[in-house]
Amino acid sequence: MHVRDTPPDAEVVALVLAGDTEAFGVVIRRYEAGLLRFATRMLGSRDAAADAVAESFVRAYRHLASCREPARLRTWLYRIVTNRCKSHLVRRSVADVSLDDAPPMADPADTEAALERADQLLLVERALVDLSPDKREAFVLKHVEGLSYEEMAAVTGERIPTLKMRVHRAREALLKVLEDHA
Amino acid sequence: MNVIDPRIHQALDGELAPEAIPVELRRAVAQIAAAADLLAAPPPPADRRRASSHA
Repeated sequence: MHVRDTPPDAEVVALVLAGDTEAFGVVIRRYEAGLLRFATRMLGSRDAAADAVAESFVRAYRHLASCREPARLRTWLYRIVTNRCKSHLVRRSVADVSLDDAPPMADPADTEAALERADQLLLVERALVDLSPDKREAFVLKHVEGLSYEEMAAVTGERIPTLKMRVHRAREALLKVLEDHA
Repeated sequence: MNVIDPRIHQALDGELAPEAIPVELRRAVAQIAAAADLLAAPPPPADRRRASSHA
């Protein structure tokens, strides 16, 4: 069954709550990639991100009945992953965020353009890690995950003006790094 | 703090069309958009990242 061919989120949630546990696989297939990308950007490590997302899906499955707006399942899932990421970050200092410890290794098959892109990505990743977790979260939700400020407010529980301010400060910090390395 | 022209934020928030801001500000808008695109792309396989730290 293709994810695109499946029913909307509210119907999938209803199926799971009615006992069709297989239907939760649709939720995972539909949102895992985006949640993993978000968690990776938040935590700077794909291993930690995979753990956070796996824990979040378990939590989501167990507490699916408490999802009050199943049509907004995506926002609810991002909120769970956000909380898991914050828990992970509390357990270690931001200084320990690793970016998986090393830059991408050059592959002989890589073109010059690809290498330049990898360098630029590393620069952006490092700038992102240097942001406070709140600003990093706001920037990634807005610009990488493409959430609206309203959706971000639902995910984070913060007010829209607060989120806008965080996104603005994150952009300013990022632009400074990019300009310094231009 | 490195405060930038508020029109850059407005453009990035979709409140202003990119063409509506001065040309000299569009570079900053493009830089943020490009950074977001890089971050949104699937990361390379983990073994390529880790390999260089053991070289």
